[in-house]
Amino acid sequence: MTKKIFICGCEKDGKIEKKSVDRLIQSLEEKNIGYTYIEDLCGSVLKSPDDLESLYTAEDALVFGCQSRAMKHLIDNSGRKVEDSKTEYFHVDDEDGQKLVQTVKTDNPKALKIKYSDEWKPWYPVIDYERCNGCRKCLNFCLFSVYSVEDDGSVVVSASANCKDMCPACARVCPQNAIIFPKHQESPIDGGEGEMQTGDNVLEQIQNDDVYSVLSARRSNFKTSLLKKEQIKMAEEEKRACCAGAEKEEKKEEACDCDCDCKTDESVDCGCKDEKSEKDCGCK
Amino acid sequence: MILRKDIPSGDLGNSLPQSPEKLKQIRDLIRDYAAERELIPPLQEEEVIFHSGELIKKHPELFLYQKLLAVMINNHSWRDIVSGIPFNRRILLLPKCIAHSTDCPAEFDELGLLCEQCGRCDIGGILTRAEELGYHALVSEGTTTVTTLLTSGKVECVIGVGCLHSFERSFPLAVKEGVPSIAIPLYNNDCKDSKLDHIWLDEVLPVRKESNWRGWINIDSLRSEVKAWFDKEKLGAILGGEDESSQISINWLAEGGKRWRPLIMVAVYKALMGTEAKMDECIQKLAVSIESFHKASLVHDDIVDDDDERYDKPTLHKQYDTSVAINIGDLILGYGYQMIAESGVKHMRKLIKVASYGHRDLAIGQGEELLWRKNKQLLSVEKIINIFSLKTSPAFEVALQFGAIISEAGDELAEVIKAYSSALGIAYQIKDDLEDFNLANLDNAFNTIQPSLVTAIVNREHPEKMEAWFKDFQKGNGAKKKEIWQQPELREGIKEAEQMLEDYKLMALKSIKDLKSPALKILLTRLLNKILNG
Repeated sequence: MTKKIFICGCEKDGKIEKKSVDRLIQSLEEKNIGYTYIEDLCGSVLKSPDDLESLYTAEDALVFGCQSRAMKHLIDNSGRKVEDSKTEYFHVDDEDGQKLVQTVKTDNPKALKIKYSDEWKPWYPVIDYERCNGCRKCLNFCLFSVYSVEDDGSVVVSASANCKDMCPACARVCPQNAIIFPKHQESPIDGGEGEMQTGDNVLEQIQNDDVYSVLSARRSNFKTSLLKKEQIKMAEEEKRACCAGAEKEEKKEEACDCDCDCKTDESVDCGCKDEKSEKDCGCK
Repeated sequence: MILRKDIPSGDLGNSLPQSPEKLKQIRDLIRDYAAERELIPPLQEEEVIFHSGELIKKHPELFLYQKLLAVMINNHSWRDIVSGIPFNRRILLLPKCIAHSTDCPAEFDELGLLCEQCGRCDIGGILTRAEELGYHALVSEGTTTVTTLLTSGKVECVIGVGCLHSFERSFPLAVKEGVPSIAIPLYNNDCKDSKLDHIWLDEVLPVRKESNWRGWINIDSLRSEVKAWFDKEKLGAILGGEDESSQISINWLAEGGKRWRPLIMVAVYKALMGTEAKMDECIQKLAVSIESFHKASLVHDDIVDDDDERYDKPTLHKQYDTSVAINIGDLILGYGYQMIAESGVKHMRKLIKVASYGHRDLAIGQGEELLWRKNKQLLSVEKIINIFSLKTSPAFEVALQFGAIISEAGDELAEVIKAYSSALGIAYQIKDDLEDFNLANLDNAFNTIQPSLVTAIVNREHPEKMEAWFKDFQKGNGAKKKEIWQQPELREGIKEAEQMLEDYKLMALKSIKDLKSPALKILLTRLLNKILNG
C-alpha cells in the first residue's frame, strides 16, 4: 500500500526525544522510504498552514510525533483536512507504528522538510471534540480570551496566540479532560491517555464544609505525605546501602580461603590462585 | 472589570513600575490621599475607578498605572478591617506562575500546587513565613480556586498575589461577597517565572491590630441559631394559648421557612454592636415578631392565590378551610405586635411605627394587585414596579430597621435602609418573575393572577401580540407555547427585565455607599448577593 509519511520533530521547545526521531528517520532511510519532516507541527498549523497542504490533503498517511490524540485533533480542528482521510497518528516510540512503517511503500523516496522559522513558541490548547461537551468552563476561565463560542454554540480556540506560554490551567479545569496542550510535560494534558488526578475533591469540600478546616487538613495531609515520601526515599537509600554492604560481604565470603596477607595488606602482591579454577583468586 | 470599558486594548493604564521603591512611593501617595477622605469598604467598581481618576488628576504622571492605582485604593480601604482579622482566618493566595517554570517538582491537587519547598523559587520561603504567622496558604493555578473561595461566602479575608489581569476577574467576586481583601500585583503578566515585590508582601502579611476586630458574621451558623428560637415548645412558652387556634398558629410559625427576616435583623444587630450584641430573650421575641408578620401574610397570600402547597405541605386553607385560615392569619398578626410589646425593648414606639407601616404598605400593595386582578387589564411597567416595591420591600425593611433600632442607630441609617430595602424588594420580585420565564414554567408566566414585569414590557411594545398570546395560553395550546417562547418580542422583554434587575441591584449598592460602618456595609453587600443569588 502507498502511504505518505510525516514526522514532527517538535523542535520549538519540544518534548519528544530527538533520539527517537533520529532512529525513525534512520530506519526509513535505510529502507529508502520517502517522508516529510515537519520541524514543528504546532507551529506550522498556526503560522504557516499552507505549508502543510500535503498533510491536510493526504488521503492516507502515517503521522509520527508526540501523542497521537494531540496530533489527530490538531489536524482535525484545522478545518482543512480532506474528508474520508485514512490518516493515522502514532507516537514516535510507538512500536505498532514502527512496524507499520516497515510495510509501507511510497511513490517518492525523497525526504522533504517543512520548516518552522517563527520566533514564537507555539503553545496553545487543542480541543478534543470527541470529549468536549460545550460546558464553556474554559471560556469563562481563561483570562486572555483564547476561547470563544461559535454561532452553533460550540467552543473554539479562536485566539491561540493570546495563550500564555506554559499555562495549562484551562486543561485542568475542563471536566471532560478535553483540552490538550501538545507540548505539556504531563499526561493527559499532553493528549496522552489516563485520568487527571483529582485528589479528595477538595473544591467540593470547600463549598460544603468549613473552609479553614478543609485547608488545614489539606496542608497537614500533604505534610504527612511529604514526610512519607522522605521516609520511603530514606528507606530505599538504606536498603540500597544495605544491599551494597551485603554484596560486599558476600564477595568476601566467596573469596578463596588462602591465608596470605593480601586480604589485610593491599601492598602485598601475592598472586595466589583459586584452587579449583587456577585463575587469580581475586581475594584482594 | 476595572477600566476595561474605558481602555479598549493595549497596555495603557495597565503598567506596573518595576521597582519596589516606586511602588512604595505610590502606596504612600495613596495613604495621603485616603487620609483626606473616608474610604469605607467594600468599595464598588465605579468608586475605585473614580478615586484612581482623582489621583491621576493630582499626579498626571501616574496615568500609566491606572489599574494599579485602582487595586491600591481598594487595598487601602480594607487595611484597617484586614488588620483586625486574626491570621488564622486569613487566606494567602499565591499564583502558580511564580514557581520555577521547568524545575518545579511539585504535584497538583484540585486546589493547586502542593509545594515541596525545594527552594528553586520564592514560594517555599513565603509559605514558611505565612504559615508561621498562622495563615492558610494556597498556590493556585488560574482562577478556579480563587473563584470558589471568594464565592463560597465562607472566607473572611484574602491576601492575593496575582497579575493585574487576574484581579480584574477576582475583584468583582470579592466585592459581591464583601470579602476583606488585599491584592499584590506581580511585576509581569506572562504567567511564567513571575516575580513579585517582596517588600510589599512583607509589609502586608504581618499587619495585625486586635482592637480592629469586630467579629465575622457567619450567616450559616447565625441562621441555625435563629432557627432554634422557632422550636415549637419555645414558641408555646412565649406566645401562650392552649386553644386549638393558638396551636395551629404556633405550628404554622414553627414549620418551614428560611427565617430570612429574623436572620437579617439579628445580623444587622451583630454588625452594628460587634461583640456587645447579646442574643437575649428580648432579641428572640423581636425575631418571633418579625417572623409572625411574615408568616401571617403568607397564610392570607395562599388564600387569595388559592395555592395548594407551601413548604411541600398543604396550605392552611387546604388543611382546614378558608375561614379558619383567615382567622389564623389574623391571630398570627396579633402575635407580631404582642411580641414587640412583651420584649421590653428600649425603643418600642419606634419599632411599632416601623412594624405598622410595613403592615400597612404590604396590604396596600396586595390591594393594588387584587384590584388589578379584578379588572383583568395588563398593568404598566411603572405600576408593576410600584406593586413590587409595596409588596416585598416592607418585609426586608422591617427586619433591617428593627436591627438598626435595637442597635441605637440614628435616623440617617433609617433613610439608607429605606432606599436599600426598596431596591432590594423590587430586584427580588423581578428575579422571581424572571424565574417563571423558562419553557417549563411558562404557564406561570402567562397567568392572570400575578402581575408580571416581562409581560408588561412586551405589552408596552406589542400589545396585539400579547393579547393573542394570552388567549393561546388560556386555551392551553401546548404547541403554541413553544412557538411563543421563541418569539423575539418575548426575548427582548426578558432581556429588558434582566437589565432592570441589574439596575436595581446597583441602586441597592449605591444606597449603602456612604454608610459609616464597614461591618454593616459588608453585611448589606453580602445579603444582597445572598438574597438575590442564593
